[in-house]
Amino acid sequence: MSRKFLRLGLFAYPAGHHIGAWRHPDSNPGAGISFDYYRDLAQLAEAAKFDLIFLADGAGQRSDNDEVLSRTAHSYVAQFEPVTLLSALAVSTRRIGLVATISSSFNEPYHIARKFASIDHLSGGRAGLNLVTSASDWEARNFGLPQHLAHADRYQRAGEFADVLNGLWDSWDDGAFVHDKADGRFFDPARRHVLNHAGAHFTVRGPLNVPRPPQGRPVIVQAGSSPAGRDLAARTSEVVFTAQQTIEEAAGFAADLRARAGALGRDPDHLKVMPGIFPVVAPTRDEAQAKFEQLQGLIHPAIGLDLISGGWVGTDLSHYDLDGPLPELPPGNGSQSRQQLLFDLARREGLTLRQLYLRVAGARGHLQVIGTPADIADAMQERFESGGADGFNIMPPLLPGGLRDFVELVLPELRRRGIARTEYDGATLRDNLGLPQDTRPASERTEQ
Amino acid sequence: MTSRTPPRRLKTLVGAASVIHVPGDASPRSAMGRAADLARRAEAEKITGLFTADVLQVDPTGVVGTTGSQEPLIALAALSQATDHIGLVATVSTSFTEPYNLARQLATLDHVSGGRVAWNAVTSSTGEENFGDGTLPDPVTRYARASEFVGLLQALFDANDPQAGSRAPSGALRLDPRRLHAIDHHGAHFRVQGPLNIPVPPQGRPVQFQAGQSAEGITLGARYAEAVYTSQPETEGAVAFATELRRQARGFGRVSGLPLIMNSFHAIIGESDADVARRLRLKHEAVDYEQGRIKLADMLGGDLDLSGLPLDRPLPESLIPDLAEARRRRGRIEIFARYIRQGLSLRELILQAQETGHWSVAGTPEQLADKLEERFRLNALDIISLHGLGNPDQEDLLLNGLLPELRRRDLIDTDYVEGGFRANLGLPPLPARQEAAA
Repeated sequence: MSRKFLRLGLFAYPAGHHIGAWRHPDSNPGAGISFDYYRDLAQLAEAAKFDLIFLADGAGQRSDNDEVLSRTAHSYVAQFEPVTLLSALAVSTRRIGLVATISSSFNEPYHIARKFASIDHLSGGRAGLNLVTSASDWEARNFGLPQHLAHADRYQRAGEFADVLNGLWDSWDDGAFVHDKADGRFFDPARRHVLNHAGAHFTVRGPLNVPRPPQGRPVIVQAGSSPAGRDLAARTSEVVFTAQQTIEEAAGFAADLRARAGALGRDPDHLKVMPGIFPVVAPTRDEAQAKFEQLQGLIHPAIGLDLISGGWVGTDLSHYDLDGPLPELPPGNGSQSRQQLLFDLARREGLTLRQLYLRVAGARGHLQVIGTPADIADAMQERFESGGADGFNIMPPLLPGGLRDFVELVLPELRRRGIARTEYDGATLRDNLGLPQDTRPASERTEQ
Repeated sequence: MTSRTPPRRLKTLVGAASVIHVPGDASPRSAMGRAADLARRAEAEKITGLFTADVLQVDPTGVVGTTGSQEPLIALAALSQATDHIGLVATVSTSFTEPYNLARQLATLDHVSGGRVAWNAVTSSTGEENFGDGTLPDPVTRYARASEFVGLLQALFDANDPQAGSRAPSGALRLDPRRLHAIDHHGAHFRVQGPLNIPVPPQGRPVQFQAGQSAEGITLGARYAEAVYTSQPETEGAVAFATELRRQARGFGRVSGLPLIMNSFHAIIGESDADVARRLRLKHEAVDYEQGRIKLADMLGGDLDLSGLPLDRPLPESLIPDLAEARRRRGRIEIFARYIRQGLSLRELILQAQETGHWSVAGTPEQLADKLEERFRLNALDIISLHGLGNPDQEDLLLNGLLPELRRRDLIDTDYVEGGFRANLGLPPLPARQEAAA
């Protein structure tokens, strides 16, 4: 059953996922702070029976390079705070899951547990959060830190953060708030679980002051692919977003994650792997290629270089020859998995810096498929059936047009092949993803 | 072209209903439906704003009821999509929150709601067990942090040039990040580089409310608040508070009449004198005096045990906590210390504690309107939080009694105006920004 249909997420991004998308004649450069834009995307994805809409985040601008910042719509200098946005979107939708990114490095878990419990209540059980550790010193400087925590510390904090979230969401059994007016009993203390957490990063007594959310626990998503990120995902996540280039890499990554989850005693099927896919689709391959070339032509060189420098925080790539081979570079304190991925890609295909940035400009390291509806469907089906994907985070090059293309051209093909749903399975995000309803250890459940 | 300053009117708030489902609800979304419905009905009555209170813990004594069982910004973001004009006041603590996160959330809500957001800054006197190292800073430290927090947030909002984002004739927004400015704040409590990574929201910055009426609270409000939420059970105290608040505000160079003053109106509305007396009797009969002892102890700072004391004797003055030592609820301690010195019996004190120190009046619509008008004319009241909407026992008397009476006297607005929540509160526009050199 759970293998029958692909899980589909819409990765909503201002103007589209191609770095040049905001310059395209069909796009709205102000999409990042247009509520109508996000509402329309959510409703479009819901009509197509997507499992979820996903919002990324950056807690601050990530450089002071105005030459770069002022040439992109993707630099988190003009995007909404996603959790507040998510709540507003909950009112404009009925069925689609609502997932926003939260940095475990710059938040208090009690606040985040409350916010997502509140969204889960008001949306009828559709909330999820993508827990990230954030990678840039620029963000850290908005939170009292001259530089960011080291990679290992960030992941340790993230693990503790997830534990506290789950513990707080488990504060109350269903029906603990009896509201017995006659007896004057507001809640039943026997159905309350006080967390009493005291760890290396957080001291949180609890209980949460929101009743148990409709989903029990909102769904935790993780996106880091480094070994520390995989361990964290295997232990604390139910959905993993990832960037994987080849079928073999995708299958290997998924198998590794499932093995790590299994080793921790989890049912590996309760971890849904959803790689990103950047589909450039048109009725013919030539038309699809032409669409792509039009977007590639909109990339400013300053943006192209910046795009691949993210994995090498602190190294200014503009000093290197754009048309020479990729130089050897020291590991940075940024996203190590991303750096490795770019390095492997360049070595494998013998790319120059310029070729590398053009190569990743579209999909930013995610799977990029340019072709007909059947080509896109083939790529998705192959990964689905070879175990590399339970579903995909769809990253349309241009939004909302690219989502419409996907829904009108690719989705019918996926449905014809019997691997995309035509109706929602249930009312909650858990129902639709095929995740277990009660994620508490049996020892912590109080039967009524 | 002529422009007329609209007459000063009393502004109104009602509490936002909870979006969290309760036992017996048909579906998890029932509560959201109720909350949206109440917000729309408030809007139909031209109520100026929706208010959310907040606490960051489950109160073990049950004194605060369901307050805090929804996160205010999340609830208001959802309600922003069910309404078009009404203001949205979110209570958020300065003691357990990161300013940069809050600035982003408020900016987002102001954008998403079309300029309807206010932030009610509180320092919190509970909830420390769920944050940081689990200890509650002393009040002076809390207010020092609050003052730095509020000033820093205003600086973050003001640093960004409104011209950073300009609308093309097509409606598309063009953004120039060179007009988003870092603030490089280095204070005793916070280091925040900035810039705020969201373009200037429709109101420039959210309307600033503040609650907390200790000496430090008054100074914070006088310096930064556009509206101060205060508990003033008696008119004399209300006038004294207004006088002191605005004296200090003038010292900070604030515009005359600022901050506005908000009270909560714990009213019982009755149809006639006899009906008022009947309702008052029923209310007093329903009081749980054992729970009431805990509630009263909370009003006195929470650290004393009132069990076993006789209900019909005054409370010994020796039980009044030393204000200098108190770590929480100092505004409430002042109010209830006054009552104890007046010789109120424990029973009367417990009745007062039901109103948690707020202004509590029973009367017909005309009598209540007289009370409101009196404080309003004394310049001790600008914004009143009204109860009764959503309460089957009081709603009809509010909608068809008190509100029409206030309208008949031209005391409250009969429609919304353009310009967001700030304009609807009758607040002056924000001071002109210092634009960065082009």
